[in-house]
Amino acid sequence: MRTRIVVDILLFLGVFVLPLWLICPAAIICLFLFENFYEIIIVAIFIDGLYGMPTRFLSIPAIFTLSASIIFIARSFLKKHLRF
Amino acid sequence: MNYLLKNSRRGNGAWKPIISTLVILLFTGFFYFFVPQFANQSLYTFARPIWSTRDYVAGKFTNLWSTLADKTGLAAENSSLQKKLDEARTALLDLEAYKKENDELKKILGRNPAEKKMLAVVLAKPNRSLYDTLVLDAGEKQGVKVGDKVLSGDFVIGQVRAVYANYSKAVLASSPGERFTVRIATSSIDTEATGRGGGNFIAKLPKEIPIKRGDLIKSPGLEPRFFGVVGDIEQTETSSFQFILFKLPVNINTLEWVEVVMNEKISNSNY
Repeated sequence: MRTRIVVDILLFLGVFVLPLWLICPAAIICLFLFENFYEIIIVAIFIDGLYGMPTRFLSIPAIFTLSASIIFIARSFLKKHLRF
Repeated sequence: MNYLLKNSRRGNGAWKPIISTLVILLFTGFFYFFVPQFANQSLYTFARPIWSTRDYVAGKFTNLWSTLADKTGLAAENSSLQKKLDEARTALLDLEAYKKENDELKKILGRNPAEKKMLAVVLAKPNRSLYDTLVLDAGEKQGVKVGDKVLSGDFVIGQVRAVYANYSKAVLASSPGERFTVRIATSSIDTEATGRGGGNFIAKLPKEIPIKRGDLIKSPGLEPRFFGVVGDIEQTETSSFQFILFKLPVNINTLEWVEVVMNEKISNSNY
């Protein structure tokens, strides 16, 4: 539990400090390391809220939240068939 | 006695992740749809001290590195940079004189659109997300409006697209898919340029129009703004067009502050 709290704090601070290519893989790794890692959706909400803007290329306004939700649901079904 | 294994029970929490995801999304959605200003403002108020600390620490590390770096190398680099700076200063003297003359001529001819510029600190740069956006420390209270241009020197780097009480978000002109009209070099031919991300753009022109590396790309109109400098020209023998690849001369990942032109209303499709 303590590890998870430390990871959560680092991950949330990372949203403000670290580049995206470091945060995304870290969040996905945590998703497989911890049970029900809801924090991935909250991290994505933070990214969308801070930097998100519908552009012509990314016309969906909350692309990270949407992706994180799909990954989170997919992982919970996938994990039953994986030994991790 | 036989017991069912825990994992083989039918419907053992299969819907739990979906329901919990929906709950989180609905809860956040409520804030973003009904009190968007409050949600964003709170997020930025929370983020600001972290960003300030990051910049402070980064600054300290840069200073530390320059103390530890090789002194001879630094001295050589310093002298080379000093030489370049002197050359640039001389070139700028001419430029300033022409600029002044241009402004005076416009004033005489009654075409002197006064513009109000404001300095804004860049709180977050594009390398933090896929969105190619800048978070600025000026918002509604400081007079920033949606559609205001964001400049770095004389170069247009983006446009304000969202404004909160003390913060605003600007989308970079080079954001992938952004389109706007440009005039290339000294020609009077206008064409459409498209952003390619990271300060890079592409424009298509007929092959016959002479373009060379280093030409300036500007906006059409009486008060032209610059978008970039031609970096490369792609031509094929079979095509009747040439592709002009140009880029911003400023590094958007190292921007510390920008200027917001506050009285220029522009549409989303044109800078």
